[in-house]
Amino acid sequence: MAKRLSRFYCCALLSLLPCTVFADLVVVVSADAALSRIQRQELKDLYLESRTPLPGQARITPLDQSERSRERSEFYQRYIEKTPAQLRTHWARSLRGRSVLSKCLRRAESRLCPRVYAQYPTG
Amino acid sequence: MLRHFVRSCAISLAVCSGAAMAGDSLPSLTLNGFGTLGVVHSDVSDADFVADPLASSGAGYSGDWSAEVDSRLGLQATLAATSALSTTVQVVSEKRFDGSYSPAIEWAYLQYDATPNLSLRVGRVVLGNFLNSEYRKVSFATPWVRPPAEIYRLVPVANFDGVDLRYRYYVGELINDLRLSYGGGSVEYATGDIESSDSWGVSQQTRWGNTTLFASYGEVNVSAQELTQFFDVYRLFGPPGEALADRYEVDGKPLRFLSVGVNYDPGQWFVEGEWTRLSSSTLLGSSESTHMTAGYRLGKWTPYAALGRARVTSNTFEPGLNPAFYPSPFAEGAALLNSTLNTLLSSGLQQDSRTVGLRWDFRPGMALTAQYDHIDFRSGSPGGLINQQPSFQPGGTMNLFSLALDFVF
Repeated sequence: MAKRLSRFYCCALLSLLPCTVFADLVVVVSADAALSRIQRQELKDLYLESRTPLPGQARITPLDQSERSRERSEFYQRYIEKTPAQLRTHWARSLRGRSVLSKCLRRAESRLCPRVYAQYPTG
Repeated sequence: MLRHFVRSCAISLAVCSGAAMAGDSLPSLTLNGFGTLGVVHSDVSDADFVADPLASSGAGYSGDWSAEVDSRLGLQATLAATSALSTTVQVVSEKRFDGSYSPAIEWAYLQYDATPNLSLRVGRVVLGNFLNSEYRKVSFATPWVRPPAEIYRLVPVANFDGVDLRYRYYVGELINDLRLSYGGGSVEYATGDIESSDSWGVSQQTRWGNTTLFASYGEVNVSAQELTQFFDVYRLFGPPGEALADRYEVDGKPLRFLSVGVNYDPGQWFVEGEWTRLSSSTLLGSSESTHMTAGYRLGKWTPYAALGRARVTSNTFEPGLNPAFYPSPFAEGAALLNSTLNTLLSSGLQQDSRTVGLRWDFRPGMALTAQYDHIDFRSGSPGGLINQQPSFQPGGTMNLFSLALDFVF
């Protein structure tokens, strides 16, 4: 996946971390990214409605962690403002089952994240 | 700090060049499924309780406990050919009119997304008359074991053959979905089939934070050969018979459905209400139904309670032909026709229901729900029960105990 992303000129990779140590939301963006900031509402639209903040300019694939992870639930509760029960209903009602997202994230966890993040300098 | 990112790597967004990503991942095939394994007990033993009025048997007379009422399996495949063109097929196996569980094509359509907010679907598509119509067969997506009968039984089918246009538009923080649909369909039951054509509907759903508002209006034209023949016999009885046939004929007259619903779900608890009116100048008459549900979430447990009410607002009795005006055997024929007409007129759903239930989300994608319903049939209504035995008396009460395992994948 990491290889494929670089092959297709992945222009940015963001990481939104509901980090327990650092209470603030941290966004990591590549210098090539057209998306330099994201509003709370845009983030909600992206995660709940698959609506891209920059239509026509970039395709954004939101990635997720497994439903059991504490980080995911914290991210959704704090930034998307949805409880696990609300999310469960949301995805079941859009008939995407446990969501397309969760697939991405298992791959992301195992391969994408460590390798791509490793390319970014600390800071 | 970076090391911390890598370790927790909680949520990430991948922003890729559209064309490159699209070319890489398409065509793509997505498979989903849902289902329910449920049992229900009814304390009315001389008739069958069914969730689908077209099913052949249910709980009560045919069995003390029945696994046929709510059990179902659905599989869905979506093939996205390009970013704008996709096709979806959904197959559902559940108890049918002929007693079998033969899988039926629930959905089969081609979807064209003209823009990310405007899509056209052609084929067999889900019906959207009520607030929960689009996922009424996905029991996992709703709090109950089955959708409230007062409202959802008014339209026992969940799909139609035709076209629909969906438009999503945003107004500030409001997410609006407008839907227009047109088509028809055919549904079989034990002794015939019901055809529908030239039917249309419009619905609007608005979501604003935790609130969902829904409104829909639709006109459905149905005909059933058995009913047409029944009224043809009435017409043989001269002008009085013709007048009665014209008054109650179903073929050629629209059934009008109006529905409004609201759902408020701030997370810790939820409340939902819906009101529906069916109006028609036919044998199927006019009726009004309301339903309300409230639930509270305690971790994996969700206790809920609901109230439902259905009333027929049109006449449920018709004096009909006067047998005294006709010689034998026409007099007996007239009396028989009147009796059948009145049985049909009084069969509309009139009831008050009280429901309590407890849902347990014991693992992702799976939930176990126990539900108790107390239903009070009003004004001599048989409450939609089928396989009524001679000892069955309409207008009584019924207690239902249901247990269901719901899943999605």
